[in-house]
Amino acid sequence: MCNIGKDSPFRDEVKVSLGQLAAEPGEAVVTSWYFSEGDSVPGGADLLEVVTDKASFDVAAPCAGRLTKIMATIGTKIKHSDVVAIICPFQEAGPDRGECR
Amino acid sequence: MRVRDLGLIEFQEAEDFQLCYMKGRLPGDAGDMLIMAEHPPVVTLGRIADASTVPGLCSFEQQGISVIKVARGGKTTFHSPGQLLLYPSIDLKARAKDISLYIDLLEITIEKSLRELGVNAARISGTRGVWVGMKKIAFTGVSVKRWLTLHGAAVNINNELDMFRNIHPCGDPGIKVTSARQELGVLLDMSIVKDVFARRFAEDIDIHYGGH
Repeated sequence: MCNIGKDSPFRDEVKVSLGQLAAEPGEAVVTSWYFSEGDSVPGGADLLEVVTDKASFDVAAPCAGRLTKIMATIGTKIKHSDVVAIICPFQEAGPDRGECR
Repeated sequence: MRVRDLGLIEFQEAEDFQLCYMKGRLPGDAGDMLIMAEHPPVVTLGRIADASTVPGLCSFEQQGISVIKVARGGKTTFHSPGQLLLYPSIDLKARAKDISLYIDLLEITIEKSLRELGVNAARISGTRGVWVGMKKIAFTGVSVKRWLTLHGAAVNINNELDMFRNIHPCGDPGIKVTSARQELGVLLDMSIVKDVFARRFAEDIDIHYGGH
């Protein structure tokens, strides 16, 4: 998906899920996306908002890169292990281009 | 743990205060604060609540009571004077990045505080909130941004309960509500109530949610 070639600025794709967050058990609902497919995303920037039964919280981009695919649109119910987005990380480190965490 | 009592204040003013406080915090500071408030009558709907949870919308409109959407978890509840709002501003990064545990902490604090005040409150396994028997006395609904908490919990202390008939509390038409006043048969001194909750919260956050 990242179309990695020797001249590509991207490394292997990074799958974003809620599994990085310890949160309320059960399903969550995607309520907002702060970026669109194709956007450049700074590492640590809020990517999307999800809501569980008693909590709303933002999910941060695990690294800087290009948001290549949104897998869960607004209103979609997701489990914590579901992949909600794919990010192709930028090759070079730099301002807002930190390593994936 | 700092404590700030905003007194009787409009819901949106209290939300603005929380947002300003959150934005002013520096990463890693020790600025955790318990904000407390009471609100004039208002219905608040969480991010995933819809209008069907307010079947008595006309009653609120006739009395000039606003129904507003709020960027928090949880569904629908009703606020009025005599209900204690707990709005902790906590940096979860400095303690534990676990939102479920944080909501547990809120509920534990509420349960213990109410018991100290003589109310036979308890948590019920598998449900959220705090209960007296099968009636709900406290409601939770939080928001977390960059691991800083917003919103929190509402506890029925002295407030009138009649208007709860016009909503489905927490989105559930089967939920009955109660208050400390109804359980004890007396009005409680809100200054004493707030002192109990503030002390318990400061103790419990270190016991149940990791100290700095």
